[in-house]
Amino acid sequence: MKSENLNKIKELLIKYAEAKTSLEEENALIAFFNSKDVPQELVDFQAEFNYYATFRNIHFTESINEPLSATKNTLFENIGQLFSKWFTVVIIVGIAALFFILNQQDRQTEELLTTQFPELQNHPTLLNIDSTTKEEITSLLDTIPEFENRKHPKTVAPHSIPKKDVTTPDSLQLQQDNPIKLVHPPFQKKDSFIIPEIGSRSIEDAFLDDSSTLSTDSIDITKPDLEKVVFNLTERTKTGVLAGIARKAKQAGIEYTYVVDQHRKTTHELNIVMIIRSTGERSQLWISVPKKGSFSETICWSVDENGQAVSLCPGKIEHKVKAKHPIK
Amino acid sequence: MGFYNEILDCKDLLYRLALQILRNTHDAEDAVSEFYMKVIEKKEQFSRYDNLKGALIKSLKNHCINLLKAKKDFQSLEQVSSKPSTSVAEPLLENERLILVQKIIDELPEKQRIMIHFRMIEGYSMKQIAEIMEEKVNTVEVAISRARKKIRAEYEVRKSK
Repeated sequence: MKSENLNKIKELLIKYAEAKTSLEEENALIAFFNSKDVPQELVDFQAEFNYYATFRNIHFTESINEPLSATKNTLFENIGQLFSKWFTVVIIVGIAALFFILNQQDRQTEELLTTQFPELQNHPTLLNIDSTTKEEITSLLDTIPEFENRKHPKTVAPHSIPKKDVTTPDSLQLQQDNPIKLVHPPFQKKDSFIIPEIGSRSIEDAFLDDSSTLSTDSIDITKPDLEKVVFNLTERTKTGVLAGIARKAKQAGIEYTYVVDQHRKTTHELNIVMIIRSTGERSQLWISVPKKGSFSETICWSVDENGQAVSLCPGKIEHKVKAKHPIK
Repeated sequence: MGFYNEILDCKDLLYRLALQILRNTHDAEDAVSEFYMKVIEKKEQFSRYDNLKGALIKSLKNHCINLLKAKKDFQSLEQVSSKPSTSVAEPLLENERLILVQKIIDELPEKQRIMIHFRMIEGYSMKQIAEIMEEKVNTVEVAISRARKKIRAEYEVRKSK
């Protein structure tokens, strides 16, 4: 090596120690010490620069597609995003059109009712009943020829007649053989049908009472379906994934403790204890894997709409799983 | 470039950083896998960064430092020596001289170690390192200078042992 070059390297090494070298100069030093042409007097510097050169060539060889695979659907995602805006617009327009049509129908029914039975205008609440009900009212009123002339309220004997039939007294001058249908709101369940206590009230009251009672008391509010969070575990499940499950569980309000013994990326022993903080429900999974053994186990929990765990499924594990041996 | 491609492009860089901080391949692999899950969970938040790569580096650095602290706390509970039992050098470096350099770097203060890593392995400018480490440029230069002198001196002392 020429003495000029050697002196230049020595100068660079002094600058390097003071952190005054540029990135290019440092790269030149790394390249120089990585060559075979290093003079004996500078050999002691070689190890440090060789270390940096070696470290630069370290790559991440593990697959990280596993966490990405659950969410990486860029093509579909993009298409979905493109269509989602139009889809929202279509939904809004559709709902608006539906309201318009229903409104038109209601108006037509009202007009029909008020034309045929002008006195109904004195009972606006009756006209506010939904369109299905109104159709039935129309048919009902058609069966009462003296509707306009009645002076006394119509009585109904709910217990002595079939549920949908109502008899009327003579005082109303209604035909006995004309069955009057009680109005069933469309949302009412058959098995929870309750005939309101009408007694001697007027039929308008009966309708009003019927609709108001059923709109509050007899609607059965069913619980929404609980969402399940499911994880499949095998002997090849990575510790990173196990840590991720633990984090998910903690977010869901589960006291989650796990101990894993892995050797060469294969699980030998896996213990998981899950306790739901709010309910105290407990589940324990012990897995012992023999040499070259394998297992496949599922742990899951149900979460409510707030993402908090409600139950562990499928029920309690609470047993020790001996992993399957390939020979047996 | 899509979000996923961009974060995947950083995987080697992130792994080397995790390896430098956590000092062993197993912990580094786990940390990077776990970190990617975290990034995907918080995709909306990360997508907002103008400099996604910088955000990922900064976030992983903090993630690894937290892991290291947790590990140290656990080891102190177990009354085990706080020094790392295994070094990154052992599985990756065959040359004894390089293993010695790695051991010396492992013993550097955490900030100096990370700064040397960014400068000499990732080739970042002093300004970039200062931004990641949230320090002044001058502080970074002083820390790197001290670290280089320490490596040099320690190597001189230990090479013949």
